[in-house]
Amino acid sequence: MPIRNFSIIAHIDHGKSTLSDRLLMRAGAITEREFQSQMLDDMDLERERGITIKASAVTVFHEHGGEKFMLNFIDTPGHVDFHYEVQKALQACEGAILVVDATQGVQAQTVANAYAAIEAGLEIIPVINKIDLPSARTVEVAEEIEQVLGFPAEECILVSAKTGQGIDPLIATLCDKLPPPKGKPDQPARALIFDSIYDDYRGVIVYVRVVDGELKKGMKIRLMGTNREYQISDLGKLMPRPRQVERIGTGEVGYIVAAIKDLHDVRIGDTVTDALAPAAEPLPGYKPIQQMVYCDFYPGGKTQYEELRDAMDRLQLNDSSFSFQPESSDALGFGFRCGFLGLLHMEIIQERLEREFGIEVVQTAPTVTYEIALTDGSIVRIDAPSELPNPTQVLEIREPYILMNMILPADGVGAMMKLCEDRRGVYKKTEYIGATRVILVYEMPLAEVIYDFYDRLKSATRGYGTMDYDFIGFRSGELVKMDILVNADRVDALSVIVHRDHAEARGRKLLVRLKQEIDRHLFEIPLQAAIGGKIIARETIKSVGKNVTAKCYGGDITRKRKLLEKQKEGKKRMKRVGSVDIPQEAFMAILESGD
Amino acid sequence: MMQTNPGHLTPQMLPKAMAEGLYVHVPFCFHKCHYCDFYSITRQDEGRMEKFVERLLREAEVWERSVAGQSNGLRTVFFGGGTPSLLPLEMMRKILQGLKLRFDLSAVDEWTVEVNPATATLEYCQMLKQEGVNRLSFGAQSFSVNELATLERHHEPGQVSESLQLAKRAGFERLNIDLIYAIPGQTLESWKHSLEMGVALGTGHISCYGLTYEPNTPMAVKKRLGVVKGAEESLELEMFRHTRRRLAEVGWPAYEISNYAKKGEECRHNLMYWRGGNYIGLGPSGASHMEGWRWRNRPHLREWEEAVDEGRLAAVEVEQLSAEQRARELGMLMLRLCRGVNYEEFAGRMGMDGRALFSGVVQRLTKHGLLEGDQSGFWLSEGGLAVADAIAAELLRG
Repeated sequence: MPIRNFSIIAHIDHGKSTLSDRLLMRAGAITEREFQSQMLDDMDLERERGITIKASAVTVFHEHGGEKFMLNFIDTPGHVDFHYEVQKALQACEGAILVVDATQGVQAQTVANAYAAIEAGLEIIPVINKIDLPSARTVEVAEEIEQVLGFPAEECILVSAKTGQGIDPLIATLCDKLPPPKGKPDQPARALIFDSIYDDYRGVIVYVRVVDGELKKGMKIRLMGTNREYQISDLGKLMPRPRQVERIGTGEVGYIVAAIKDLHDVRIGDTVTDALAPAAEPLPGYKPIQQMVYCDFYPGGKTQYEELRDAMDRLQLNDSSFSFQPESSDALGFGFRCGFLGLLHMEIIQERLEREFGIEVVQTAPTVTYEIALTDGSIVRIDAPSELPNPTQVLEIREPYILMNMILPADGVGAMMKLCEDRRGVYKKTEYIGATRVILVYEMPLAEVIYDFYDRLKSATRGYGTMDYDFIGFRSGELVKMDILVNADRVDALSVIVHRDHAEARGRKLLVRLKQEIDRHLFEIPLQAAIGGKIIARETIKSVGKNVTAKCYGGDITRKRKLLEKQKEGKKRMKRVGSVDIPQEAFMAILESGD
Repeated sequence: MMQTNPGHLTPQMLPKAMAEGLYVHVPFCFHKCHYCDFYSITRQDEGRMEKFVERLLREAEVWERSVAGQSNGLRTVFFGGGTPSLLPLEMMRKILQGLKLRFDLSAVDEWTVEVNPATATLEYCQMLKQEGVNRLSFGAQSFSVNELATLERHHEPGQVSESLQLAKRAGFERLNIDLIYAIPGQTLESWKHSLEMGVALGTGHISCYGLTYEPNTPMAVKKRLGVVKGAEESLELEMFRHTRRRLAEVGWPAYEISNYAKKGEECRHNLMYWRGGNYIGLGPSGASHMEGWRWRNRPHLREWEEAVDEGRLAAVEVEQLSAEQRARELGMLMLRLCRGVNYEEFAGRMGMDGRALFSGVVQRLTKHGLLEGDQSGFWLSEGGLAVADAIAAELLRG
């Protein structure tokens, strides 16, 4: 039976899930009623945000040209924070349907996803969706696809996933145009792990694409990256409901259950082989997960430390790309240092904690991972400024860079170029899409993007601009650690790593922000920003001018005392540093002071 | 801090102690001033007042029968309100005489009654003097007609001087006037004028209170609504500083944050509060203190009457302070005095070494120039005066 393995890739909200469901329905795998509720996404959060968080794979059968085809849909995460997972999912395919919204046209993630698919060597079928909408600009969008991505405009398939229009020609094209898988059935088994989830009853469920050989129920397998061995207790396919099978053959997709207890033992991109007849080489491209964005979570509101820890343990069962370790801060008490693939990933984790576990967290400003080259030739990675080694041992500090693609209305380009320049961006290119939209490409330090860049882009483009980025490596820069001194005491939790040229401006802004957050005390409080021993910015919080009640209280001393006690306690959670009370908000405010 | 079930406090539960002061709250006013949050009612008739007088004496009997609050230690009596002078002459006489029958007031050397300048008469003053009152306190508040109107005070500026004349004629030598500064719209010049008018009256004691916007007073509501605007902090501070300077010049230096007197003319009853003394408060809302127990009477005339009718204290907000709480509170109180916290006096009252208790705060705040001190104790510096509440809060926290 001919097999076609493919993914659907799209910018957020361009209709990927609806199209998936429509294809499943057409293949008879789901009913019209089931179509009404989206099938592939199983988390509410994904649906609301229009993001597919975790991949899954569905197998359906379809008659075409008198032949029965096995169609395997491999779903991909929709955002580049999950770039590696996207890559691995695409690596499990031979083809991809690239969906573009007929009203919105090519967007930043359209480009990023298309490039990822091209890089993975996939055959791409461009599809223009939502052609039933009155505001559809089908012809223009086809031209954009040709201009930006190089696929001939006339080859775009026009569909409406909502009404079903164009679905038959699309399936026909899938069968006709996509190449069949090219594995070697007679070689030792090699299967690519492209996803895994944790199930309370069965442990880890591993999704694989068999590249060579086959997997059989009862087989003893080895994960080549970690060298761990397991016995397959169940094999199956999602059709779209789980169905057990005896074997998964070359080129096919399915899942393995093998009494694996910890999601961390299974790494996406790893190769499954037959433990008794192992393959000589694993499949290429396996990389351990690299967290790029870090922040601290502290229990907030009524949430206790233990509750937060339990909830994060549970979450980590489902998401091995999220890491955390206990952290205690002088300023904020006990919490966790958490690592994420990117900003969106961070937001998703926080929302899931709140939504699924009812946990309230206080989140510190995010920071990036830095690579520190030491004078002894070694390299260490740090994710908090306080971990920076002694300056005399530091040869250079390297920071993560990204390649940023922005698609903007032409009148927003000036503002965005200025923003990128201000944020140390390196201009790469500008390209027009039609007459009114522009692709702007910059290389930028990730640290400059992780706070309010997206909001700034949205406001500069009245909401029309989109962006996407990809990590391109660590680069050395004139980076320095800037310390903040409050009343001459250095406050570790307020230190930041900044570019030397920006240090003074950043320092000044940060101090102004602190000045707003810290209440006036009985004495003047100098605030200073310093690099090494050198003060680069200074502010002063004036002392309290008047705080005396010259009132007659009579004998009601209790009332007077309670008023004073209340005055002292105040409303905010405070941390005393030296003799200065710093409210929690001040620690949160650090990165907001970016320009 | 122990909270006792309100209404169940009895004098027998209290430590055996000598009461040094007696406070009587007269909860009647002709009209309620817009800044005032002391308990009083304006709807009263003679019957209501008579009932009050009778209950007040009955409340005194609750104490008379008890071991706590033994009255032979009483040194000061203070009648506040409300407007004590609103009580008809005979009723007032009945209270004064009744109290003398129920308490041993033989050692009392200061007996103050607050008098409204608009209602004082010679006859009334003479009666007070005759019954043992030796100090009168007049609520002058301001000598500006506009400012009195803002405060909703119903007297004429000139009536203060007239009332004082009557008081002097009745034989009173110890007199006080209260003034208020930082009134909305008041300028520094206007305050200086009121202060000079006050000085010219020659009372030898003057209380100058900064206007505070107490929650649930019409004044606070007006401020919230923007009808009146509070004085600028810096102006209020300037008024405060001018007052201290000017009254020191005329020989009535400050002896407490808001009180100024010629030497020997200090209000002993108020000093007793600031030195952690024991006192009994009678009447609705009257506050009491007995060796670390603090409470106040129900601030409600009818509820207070009911409690008295049942022969019990109308106590609410009862608290028993721990030794340390009591000591810290005494620090807070003494700090308001010009001599500040005197270690010897502190130890005498608390049996505790104030040096050890406050050393951290004193060291820190002395470094910032907010406190001054020596071997004998510590006190607010000129700079510290302006932030006395914040410093008191530090003493409370430690």
